[in-house]
Formats: sequence, C-alpha cells, structure tokens
Amino acid sequence: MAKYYVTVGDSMGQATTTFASVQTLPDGGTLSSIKVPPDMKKISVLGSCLSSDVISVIDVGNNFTVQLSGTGLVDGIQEFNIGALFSGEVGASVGMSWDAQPANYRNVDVAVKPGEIVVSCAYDGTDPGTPFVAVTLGFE
Amino acid sequence: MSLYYTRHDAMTQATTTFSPIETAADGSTAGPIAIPPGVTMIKSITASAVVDGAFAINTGPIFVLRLTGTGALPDGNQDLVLGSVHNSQGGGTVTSTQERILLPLTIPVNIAVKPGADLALQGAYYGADPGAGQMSVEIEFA
Repeated sequence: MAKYYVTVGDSMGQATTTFASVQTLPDGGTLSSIKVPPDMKKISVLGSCLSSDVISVIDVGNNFTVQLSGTGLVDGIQEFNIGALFSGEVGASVGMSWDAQPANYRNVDVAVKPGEIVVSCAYDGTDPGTPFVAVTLGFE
Repeated sequence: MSLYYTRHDAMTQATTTFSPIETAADGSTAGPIAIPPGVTMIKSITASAVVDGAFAINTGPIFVLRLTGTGALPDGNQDLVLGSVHNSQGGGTVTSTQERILLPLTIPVNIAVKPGADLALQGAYYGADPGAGQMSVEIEFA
C-alpha cells in the first residue's frame, strides 16, 4: 500500500497526440519533476481524474494517456491509459448537462530509484478545447 | 479496530488554493483531527465533492485533498486527487434542472501518522471557479 502521495495537474491545451507537462501543484505552484521520496522502491498506485474545463467542444471524443519519464524510473518511460472524455450535441439546440466522477485509483507496479519523474499527458482524436487532467502518484 | 472521523467545508476560495476542511457534521468548527492514541496509520480516505449553489456554467473543477499538520505525518504532506464535476452548457442559454447522486470515493492508503499530533485536512481544486464547491472527507485510522 502506498505511503507517499504526490499530485499534479494541468490543462491540456496542446494539439492532439502531443505530450504536455502535468506539473501544477494543487496550491498553484510548479513541480516540473517529482523527486522520488527517500527509500521508495516503486509507484504502486496511479490516481487520475479528467474534466472538461470551460466550454467543451461538441462532437469530439478523446482518450488520454499519461506518460512517466525521467531519471527516477528503473525501466524507462511508462505510459498509462487514464480514460476518455466525449461531448456530443444533436441538432442546433443548446442544453445543459452535468457530470461528476470520482478519481480512478488503480494499482500499478513501476520500479523507481533516486531521481526525478516527469509527468506528461497526451490525447487522441480532435482537439476538445481545454480538458483538464490531474494525476496522483503513490509511492512505497 | 479502526477509528473514523469526518470533516466537511465549503470550497469558495480561488482556484489552486488550499482551504481548511474543518467543520464537523454537526456544524461545529471542529478544526484539525487529533490523532488518537494507539494508531499508526491512515488506512483509508473516503470523500465526495459537489457544488452547493449555482453551478457556474462551463466549469469543471477537479478536487484535491491535502493531508498536513505539524508533526502529524512523518512522511510529510500528502496530496490526493478526489474527483471532478462538470457543468456543460455550450454557448447558449437554457432553463434546465439537473440532479446527480454521487457515491463517495474510497482510497485504501498506508500513510504513517503520529498519535497525539493534529491532522489538518485541506481542499483545493484545479480549473475555473464553479461557484460554491463543497467537500466532505472521512479518515479511517488503524
């Protein structure tokens, strides 16, 4: 069970199939890379959450991939599917919809060593506007 | 045997800014949680988040919990993402009513704590201000 948790998030304003850094702390600070905590041997938990921030472009769907890279990874770059967002509209009408989802926590097994870990994210499909992603890494 | 404590609070602060989660279920300002004697860890965190009031259109905050407190956490502050809510209204104007029932998220964890110290809960969100966020958190000690 993980004992040390770090969270970063960012707006995904980049073009499709392009990785962008996920490096904003929940308090607004910048953490361009995560230093592997002392004595930690692996990332055992990956938490993630997606949302559409501001107006989501209609009739688009995107799958999101988180990438871990950096000197703190024993086996090099690792990539994870963290789910999808989609938005549709029939006709020229406008409406309102709500959605709410808890974060997804999954067990992973990524060997780490003293060093830095960089979190990035990319999506496929048509540019959806300003999706937002937040990622929690749990170390043990 | 586990011990369970809850706190909740409004998240009316600006984006990416932490605010205390320190109100008890009876409405009193309970403040941080005094870590009970004999426990060594937080075993799980259960939480939910909503918007209590007019939900600003086209906003989709992602809520984050911070565990902190002087001397409470031998491994330092811990930040965990909890979930998101989104209100989509495109570019038009519409009269509408929406309702959503949410189950809480439970995260099994193994976070070391120091009995006797005060564990402070704080909440923040990424993204545009939704208007009146509200978070509730349950901590299970063992």
